[in-house]
Amino acid sequence: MNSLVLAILIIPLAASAACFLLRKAEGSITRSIALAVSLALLALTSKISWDYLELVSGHSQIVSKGNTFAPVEGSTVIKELFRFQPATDTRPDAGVIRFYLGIDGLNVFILQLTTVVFLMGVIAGWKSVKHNPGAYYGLLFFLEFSTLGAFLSFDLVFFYIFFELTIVPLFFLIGMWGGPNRQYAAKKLFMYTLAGGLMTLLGLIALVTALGQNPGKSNTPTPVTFSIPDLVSDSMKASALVNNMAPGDEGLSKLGTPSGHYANMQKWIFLALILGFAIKVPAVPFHTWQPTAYFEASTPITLIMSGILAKLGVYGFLRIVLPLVPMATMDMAWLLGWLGAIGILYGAGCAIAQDDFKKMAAYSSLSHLGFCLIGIFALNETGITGGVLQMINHGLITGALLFLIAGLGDRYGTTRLKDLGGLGARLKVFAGMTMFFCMCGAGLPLLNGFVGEIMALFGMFDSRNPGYSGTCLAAASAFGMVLGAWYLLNFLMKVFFGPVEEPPFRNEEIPGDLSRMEKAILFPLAAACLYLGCFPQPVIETIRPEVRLISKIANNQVVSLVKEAVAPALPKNR
Amino acid sequence: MYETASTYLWIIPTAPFLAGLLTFIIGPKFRRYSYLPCILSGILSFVCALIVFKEVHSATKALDIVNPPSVSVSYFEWFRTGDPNLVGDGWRKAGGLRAEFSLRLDPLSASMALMVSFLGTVIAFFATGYLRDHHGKCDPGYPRFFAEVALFLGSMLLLVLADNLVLLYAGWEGVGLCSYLLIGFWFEKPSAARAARKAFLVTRLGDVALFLGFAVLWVHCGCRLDFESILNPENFTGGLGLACLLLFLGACGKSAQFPLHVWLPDAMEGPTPVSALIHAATMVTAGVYLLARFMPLFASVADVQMAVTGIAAITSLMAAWIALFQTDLKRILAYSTMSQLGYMFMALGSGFDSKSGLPFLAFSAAMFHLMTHAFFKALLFLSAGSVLHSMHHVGDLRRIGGLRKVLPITHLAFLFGALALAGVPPFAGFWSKDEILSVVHAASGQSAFPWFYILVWIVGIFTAFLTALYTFRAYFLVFHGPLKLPEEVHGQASESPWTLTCPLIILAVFALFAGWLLAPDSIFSLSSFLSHVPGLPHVPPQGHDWLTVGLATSAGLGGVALAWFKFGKNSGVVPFEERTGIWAELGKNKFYFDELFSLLIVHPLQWLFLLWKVLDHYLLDGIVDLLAHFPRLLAGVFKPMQNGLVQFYALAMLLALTVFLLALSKTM
Repeated sequence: MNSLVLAILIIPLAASAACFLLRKAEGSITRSIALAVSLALLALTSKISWDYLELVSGHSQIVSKGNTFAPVEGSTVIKELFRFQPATDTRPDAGVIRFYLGIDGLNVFILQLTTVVFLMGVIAGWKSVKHNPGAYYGLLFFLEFSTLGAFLSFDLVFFYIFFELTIVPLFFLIGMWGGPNRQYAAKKLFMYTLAGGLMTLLGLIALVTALGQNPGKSNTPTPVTFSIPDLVSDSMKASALVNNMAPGDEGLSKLGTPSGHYANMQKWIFLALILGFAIKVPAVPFHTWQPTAYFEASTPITLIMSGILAKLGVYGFLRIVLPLVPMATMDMAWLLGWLGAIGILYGAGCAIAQDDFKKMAAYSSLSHLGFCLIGIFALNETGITGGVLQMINHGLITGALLFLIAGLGDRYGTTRLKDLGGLGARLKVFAGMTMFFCMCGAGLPLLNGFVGEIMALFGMFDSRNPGYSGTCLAAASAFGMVLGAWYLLNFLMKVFFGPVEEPPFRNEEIPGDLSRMEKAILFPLAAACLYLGCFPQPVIETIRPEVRLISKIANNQVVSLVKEAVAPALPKNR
Repeated sequence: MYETASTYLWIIPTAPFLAGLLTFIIGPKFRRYSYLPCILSGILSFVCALIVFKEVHSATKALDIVNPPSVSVSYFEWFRTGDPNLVGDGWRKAGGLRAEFSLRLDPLSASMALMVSFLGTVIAFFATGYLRDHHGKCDPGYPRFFAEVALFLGSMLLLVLADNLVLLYAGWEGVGLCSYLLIGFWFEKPSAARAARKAFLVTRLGDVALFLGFAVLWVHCGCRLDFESILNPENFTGGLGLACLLLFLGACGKSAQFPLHVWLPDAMEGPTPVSALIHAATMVTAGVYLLARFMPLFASVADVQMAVTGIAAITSLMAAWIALFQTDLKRILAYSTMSQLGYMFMALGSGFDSKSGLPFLAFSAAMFHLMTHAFFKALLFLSAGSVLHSMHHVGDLRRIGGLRKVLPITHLAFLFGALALAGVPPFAGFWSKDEILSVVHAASGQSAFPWFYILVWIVGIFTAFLTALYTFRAYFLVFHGPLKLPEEVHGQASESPWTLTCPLIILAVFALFAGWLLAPDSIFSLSSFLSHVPGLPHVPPQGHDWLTVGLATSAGLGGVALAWFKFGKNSGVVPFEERTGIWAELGKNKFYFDELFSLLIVHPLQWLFLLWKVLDHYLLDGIVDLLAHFPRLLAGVFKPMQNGLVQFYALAMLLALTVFLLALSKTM
């Protein structure tokens, strides 16, 4: 599998270079290349997902690898790049920055989602991208490269590099191919997310050094490591010691005494980390770059931003924040829980008030991602599972809806609600598909949106979840379901119901129903949404080991885990 | 037991679902025949429902009451999180959520499934004719209609057969979606579009309450969601009252009870078969089914039961009053449905003492009325549909009249339905309405607040009078008096084709006999069949409460007589819709509920959201932009120093050097 892992990173980079080189060529050539490469990447990630599923179902022992975030065996790509401290006997991987990629349950479906969303982005821009397509697709593939890289990285340094690298192509994609106010939007996006990212960087540095100063088994300081699996096991030990040090407990005192430094630092590290991730998601009140960026960007780029780039922040919570600063997470989960609940209601409310359906989509994204936050910061298995499912489902649903919005834009050249009406009579299949995906978004059972929402809410609702008023949060968020239906039905009613209203046609060409290519992507997507709504269990099973690990880390059960970890555990997956 | 039944059980909801999907995909290619999958799957479901019903029925005969015949068939796991071994053990590690595709077979679900599949098929058959014009040309949305009706049937059957809360919720939302789609079937009409949206949103408000109710049940029942565990009050650690209240709110939304009733009258924008199937016979009774299903829980919270009865009494009286003043035939029937649903909830709310036989009596009375009402109200709606079909969709009582001769079959069918609704013996409504009022009367004897139930009982009897009055007002205005035809018809009205009249005849037979057949002391007694539903202490049929029977029947007959004097004899009274005075105004304007809703909820929310939108742009984003200006402001402070004057630089150097040297000399 590891050659596949490397391939999904190299192919978009190569495609990006090729598109730049071919920027003098005809648009149709680069467009075909883009389509072919996207399809190839989709096939590759599907192969990876498939292999991973087989591996999980075959050898559950390997995958439930206990207590680290180590990627599954055979999927890792490791290349030592730069050593700044000599290796020690106990930690051969410490003191080095490595190019460390891998697959585990947390990222395998997100990778799949990434390639799906980029394929949709390419097709959604099929007609609308006229200006300098070579550069456009070059940047698009560079964006895909950095997104995939961030999801694949198991080394903090590379995670951060890829994470920040996504802003660069995005800046140009918005600034050069966007709407009238695109430069302002691009600049704002860049500055805002960069500022957040720098805070994250600060947090990461503090985290690595704080954990490095923490004495391990012996009294020699642990060498600094950037490997996420190693950091997770370090943090587990350190947090467990502070949380549960019972005098006279033999098993624990063997581990040594904790230094208070890491424990004291956690709160600040947590705040620094979440600032960057919350801006990336975005969560209220750090979201104001989003409406402008989503609105000014050309719709395919909005699709990609909402479909996959928003997930980078959520993924950061799961991969970095929860496992690495567990004590602070326990203390301050309420903060993010409230941000999520407020985001659900506030986003939906703002979406209702919009008169433009692209802006409506931007705020609806804010609302839906609130469910991710609610679920993840419920800190129990049900909630986190719901959060992860919601990430995947929201990607598919918002991707499809923005794809359809892009279709409306191509056909009528407008995204204002009042310009359109009664299109159900003219674009029958189009209206049907929009209706279907809106219902997915409204969280109707047996469609995919429901499973994530119910898990996130029930996870938050669990009264055994102490520390903050989960019940209030869940109850408030549940009303997001009414508001969510409200703006979606408004949109459907204005655009598809009633007497036909159309702006004057451009090019004397009467807009047709879904084209063959649009059908080719929307029908499988609709089938996937239905399938995931009825049979989500394979996905849940696949992400379960990692989810359970996260939920246990943020939990008093850490003690028992540490005991397992200290005992000669399963062979490390190297 | 039930080997055969579990083989056929899954087909009942699945067949219409698949038929719906099939019709969506290939329906447009075979427009004229696109009703076939829907009808065939309906028949298949009905046959399977009949098979499982027979099995349950024979089981009830064979078994004693100690071993209630109920079985749950699990097909596959929908989703599951959490470790089942950790359930109930401390916090955070628990919280497992588990839902299965499992169907429940017991007398309650079997009789509901039978009723739904039968009525669904009959009404779909009616619609094959209804959605064609007088030249046999299909409506443009013909395939879409049957696809959505099939989906509806699948969801409704899933709802009544579900064995856990999540699956029930799936059916519940599914019927809501189909109701939305079918109300907006003629989507070109702005009024239909608005009505569809309103129906979805108002019921969704109830659905959220239901969802929260399920969450409360889940939390307090050790993270379990299956009916076996949930329907036993002993498994609960608390929260029953809250949960039941939330469930009732959910039921209010779906079953159009005060104050979430506002969507139902507008829902009449949909085609009439839809009104008959969804907004009279099946979907709106989902709330009644829900409360009946959860009767073991509701029986243990007497306070909530009083709220249920109170709301039900308000709804039934108010709806009956409004129905008196309406001029649209279908709207009268819609308010009548609301009022009759109120009766059912009235009965359900009377079952409060879980040790006594009252909960069972309440439950069986409500279910009895649910069944009979489904038949006679579907009949009334379909006859109204037949009227509309021949009157070119003019249903205004002021513009049609005297159709007795023109539409003889429809006239008789409507008359049968009206007699059943008015509670005239021996028609269906007579039997079931008396059961309900008797239960309320009996409840007053056992309640801690007897006057409350007595009051409800009086309201019930008065509403029976109003019911007869508004029903026969409509009947006399439409079918008696001089012939009045709207211009749209061009004077050529004739009886509807056989596809429309056949279902009418079938349902008319049911309206005549259903009550008598299913009454507690007959051989096909519904209540003795339902007595095998687990969780409720069963009591044998009580003797008749002659006081109630006498009062209610005379109220009904009095209503009919009054209607005849006022509208049948052409006595030249002022039509109700032209009367003035506060009560008439309230009735004509539906007690101003639409206005109240938009004034108190919709408009404030819209303003709030607009405010959010503005604040989002100017305040939140303004702060960000302000922060972005900060570096420039800071630069503005230092910028004047870079003024390019050599003298200034020299001065600055000199000053800095002096300060530096002074500082140095201090430290030395």
